[in-house]
Amino acid sequence: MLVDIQKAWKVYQLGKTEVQALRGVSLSIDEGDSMAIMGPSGSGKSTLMNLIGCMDRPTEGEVIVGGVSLSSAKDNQLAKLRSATIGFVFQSFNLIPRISALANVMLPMTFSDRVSKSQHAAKAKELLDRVGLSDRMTHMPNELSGGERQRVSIARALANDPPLLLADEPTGNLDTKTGNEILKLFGELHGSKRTLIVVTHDPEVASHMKKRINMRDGQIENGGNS
Amino acid sequence: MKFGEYLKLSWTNIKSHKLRSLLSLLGVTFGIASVIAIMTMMGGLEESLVNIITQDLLRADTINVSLSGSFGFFGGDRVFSERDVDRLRSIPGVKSADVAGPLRGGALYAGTKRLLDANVITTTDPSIVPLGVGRLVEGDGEIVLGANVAETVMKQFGIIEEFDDPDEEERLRLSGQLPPIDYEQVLNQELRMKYLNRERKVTETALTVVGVVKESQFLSGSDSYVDSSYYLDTEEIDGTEYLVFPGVFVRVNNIDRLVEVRNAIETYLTSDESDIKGLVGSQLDLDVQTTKEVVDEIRANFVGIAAFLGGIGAVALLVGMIGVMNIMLVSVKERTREIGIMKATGATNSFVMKSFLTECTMICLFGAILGILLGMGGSLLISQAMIAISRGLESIPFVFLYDWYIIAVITGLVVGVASGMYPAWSAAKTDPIKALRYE
Repeated sequence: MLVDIQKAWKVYQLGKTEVQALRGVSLSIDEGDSMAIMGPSGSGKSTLMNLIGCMDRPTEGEVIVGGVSLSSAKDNQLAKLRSATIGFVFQSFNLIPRISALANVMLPMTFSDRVSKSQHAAKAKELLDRVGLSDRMTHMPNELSGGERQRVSIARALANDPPLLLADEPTGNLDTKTGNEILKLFGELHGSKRTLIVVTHDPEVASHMKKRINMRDGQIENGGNS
Repeated sequence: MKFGEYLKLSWTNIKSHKLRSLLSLLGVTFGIASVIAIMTMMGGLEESLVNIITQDLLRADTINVSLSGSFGFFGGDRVFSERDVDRLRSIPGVKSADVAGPLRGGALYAGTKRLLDANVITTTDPSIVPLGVGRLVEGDGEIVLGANVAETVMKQFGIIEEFDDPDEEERLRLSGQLPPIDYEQVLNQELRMKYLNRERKVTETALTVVGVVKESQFLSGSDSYVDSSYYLDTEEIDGTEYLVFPGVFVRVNNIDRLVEVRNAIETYLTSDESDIKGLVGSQLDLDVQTTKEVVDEIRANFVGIAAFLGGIGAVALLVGMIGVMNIMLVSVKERTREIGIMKATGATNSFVMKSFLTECTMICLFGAILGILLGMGGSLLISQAMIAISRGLESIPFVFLYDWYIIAVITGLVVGVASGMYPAWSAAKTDPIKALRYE
């Protein structure tokens, strides 16, 4: 099991009010799964994604990713875990604007020993080639279209060969045609035995995933499968 | 991650914010530059003063004996008797003991015109005079003129043109439109001198100019030298009138025995056998200094001045450091999202911390190196300005202060780490979730 969540709670203090973002969520994701997490704004799906992505720790309950319990993990252990396990794809791409597409893809490799230093550039080129950007490698992010930027960010997510790809509204900032191309790319990646989790409120996107869960008020509505 | 990669990454970051990096760098640069410029300037002045004193006034084998606080050459109370000087000559290791003293009432005339600001000094050793052109006096009826006096004489005799406006003349001479004064032309001119002879009678004598003293900012241009036979200051000691002088220059046979001789001189002069002790009594406070000690004293004074001026530079550096810190904090804030991206893709807190710290230290290090260069250049400019406004100062030697450069580089590193520590720490502590949402 790649991700195992048992009765996870996440409570924030927002000024004087307490926000219960997650209220006892249990969920398990196996290797090779593909899952859509759906739900309206404020339903807790982003909080859930942050926990799966090892960016946060639960207030209560247990979240285990790649065999490591997040509750007791130190900041550096979480960073190592992200580096080894997770590839993030964001709605707003989150590329570093000052460096080229190639350098953006190489960035996660510098935080990990997975790819040897001499292979960084070659590996990054191979990944960019795979997402269809072999002729855009030296471009800066602002010289690329939205679809191209999202391809760079997917290539970056694959840099360290993580078992889990985590995408937050990956097509949210793209037109339908480009969005479909990105989904097609996800389909190919999932085909290569990678676990795929997509947070979305677009049923069209969710329909590409094998499993779907609906979040509402910090809880999973449909028990995890549909 | 290796250190080299931090450097590379920092360099990329610095390059992508060229103007900002440059501005924060300049804060450090000006701080370091002011310290280096001041130190180089002071070093140069010190060197030139020491050079002049050791080359023009004192030699390494010389011991300067005077009353405390006065320098025998320039005047002061006349308390060193001929007999004491003779006794100093008999101390083992002493090669010679010579005296110099201003002549009473020595008034010089060129033709019918009285020469102002002409200070006539007599000396038993003409060779203590730093000669520019001509030769030293060899007896009565000869004079070696100070550079300013020589110039006045040449104008009086119409050898060189006289200007109504001395500033205009100086400007023309400095800019090279007027040739430098050729002091050779004043040689063999005849002057007259009125002075008091040993019978306290005003006497007039003719003097031939045989030489001119070197032009130097540390030598008075009005001091002119005649033979010691014109000297008349005396004191009655043990019933005899002895000539008395404001100081004695003692030279030794063997420089290795300098300190030994110095101590012997001091012992004699402070003993009850000496005339000076009998004359001055318990007020006697002597300076018996070797050239090295004179130079050390000058250097010690310079250290004090340099420390004060350097302190002002250090304040500039502190201001620069606060500037760097400020800009780094802004930079961390601005790159919040970037920090979030790096953390999401696996960067540890220590990576984020080190990368900001490296960047800040690099900026400060560049600032320091630029500051050293700017400081060196600045001191050259100030030297030129000082030479331009001061007469007779031909050059201030440029000194390389290698230990100060090392201090400056280390300061750059320390300032970099110190000013980057808090911004880097706050970057490292950034919550990646909030950072990714940061607009």
